[in-house]
Parts: sequence; structure tokens; C-alpha cells
Amino acid sequence: MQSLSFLRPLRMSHRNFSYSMRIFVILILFQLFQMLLSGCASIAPFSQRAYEQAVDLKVDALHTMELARDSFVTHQAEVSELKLKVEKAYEYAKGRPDNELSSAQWKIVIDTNEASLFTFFKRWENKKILAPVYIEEKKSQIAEHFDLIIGLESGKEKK
Amino acid sequence: MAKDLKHKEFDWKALLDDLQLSLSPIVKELARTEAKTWGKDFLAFVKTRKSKLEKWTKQRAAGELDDDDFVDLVHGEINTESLLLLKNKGLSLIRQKKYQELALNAVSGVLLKQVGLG
Repeated sequence: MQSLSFLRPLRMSHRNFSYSMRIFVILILFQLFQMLLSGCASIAPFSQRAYEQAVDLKVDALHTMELARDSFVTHQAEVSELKLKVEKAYEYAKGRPDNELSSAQWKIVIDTNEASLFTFFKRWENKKILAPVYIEEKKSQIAEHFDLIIGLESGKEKK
Repeated sequence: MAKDLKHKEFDWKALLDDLQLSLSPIVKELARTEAKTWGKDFLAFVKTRKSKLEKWTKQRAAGELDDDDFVDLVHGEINTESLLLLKNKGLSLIRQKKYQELALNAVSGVLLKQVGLG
């Protein structure tokens, strides 16, 4: 243990280290270790509500996207209702302590500049109607996005 | 046992050796799990993206997707990657928390041994 040679003077000077002093040092070391661990990033526990929200919204979103074969005006109310629900899910995720990762995921879903679910609705509104092949491909992509949100939530520790 | 230790020299080297011995398998196992998980996910991600891009390129050539649709789908894949990274980061934190508990137990054991209570 060449690397521990710096401890030699310390060891020598504490040859008669008292038992109480030893316990004191041990406690300090333990406290330091605990502080080191508590300083590490933590993550919110599993939330049944957040999980159900994500599953329900996935089903609703895929159903609403399918309607993009029709004119946007016909389904504007459904789109607005879905967008409101997704925004609520984002706010719920954002409000939970230690839940930055999940709220960052929801932020991607609602960001209109990110080729997200909300971008899909924006494009639908602008183009009035979307190509069936694009709808199918985008549905598969959005389903994967929701699966990743659900995957993180279901992987959290159940308390 | 505690009584005997009162008269013994405080052995820093033994303490550090014990700590190293208890913590090293935990750290090794954590590193192995993380490398395996991240590597597996990354390979699966690259493979899926490749086949999707090939499919969209053909659909674009066939006129089934316009340029905007194609660009949007490709940008959407960047979102998929970001979401995957966030998910993996979260799951990695959860795994690390479990290993932290193991490490804490190991350190408690070593420290208690030093005061003759372990």
C-alpha cells in the first residue's frame, strides 16, 4: 500500500488513540459518507396517477391522430381537449418533487418546435389534412414517445 | 471485544483496506450493469433508426411522404432519442440508489467492526 504512506505520520501520532476518540472519528466518517450519498441526484417514487395519465393519453393521442385523414376543422374540439389533458399531465409531472426527468419528457411532447405530438396537430391545422402514410409513421413514433414516458414511470420505486 | 480494542492502535490501513474490500464489488457490479444496459439500448436504438430511415427514404421517393413529412419524422427521431436518454438516466438513478444502500450497509459494517461492534 504505497499510496497510503502519507497516513504514516498520522498513524504514529495516534498510537494511543482513545476509544472514545476512535468512535468519534468513525461517526464523522460515517456522517461524511452519508452526506456524500445524499448529495447524489434522486428521483420521485412511482405515481399511479402519472402512470395512468400517460397510458390514457397514449390511447387518446393515437386515436385523435387517426382523425387527421379528415379536415382539421371537423375535429378541432377533440384536438383542443387532448392538448389540454396533455398540458395537465405536464403540469402534474412538473409539480412533483425530484421529477425533472419525467417533466422534461412531457415538455418534449408538448413543444411545438420539436416534431412532437403538438407539432403534429399544428401541421394538421396548417395543411388541413395529412397523408395516410405520414399519419401511420407518426403514430408509431408518438406511441414510442409515450412508451418511453410510461417506461420511466413504471420503473420508479413503488412505495 | 470493544474492551480489547481500547488498548489497540487505531489501524487506518486496516480501515481503508476493509472499506476497499467491501465497496469494490459493489462499484464493479454497478459499472458492469450500467455499461451493459446503456450499450444494449444504444445498439437497439441505432438498428431501429436505420430501418426506419430506409423505409421513409423509399416512401419519400415513391411520393407517399413529402419533404416536410420526411423532415418532421427525422426530427421526431431526435425526440425519441432524447426521451430514451431521459428514461435511461432515470432508471440508472433508481439502480444507483439501490447500490448506494448496499454501499451504506457495507461501510456501516466496516466502521462498526473498527469499534468492535461489528
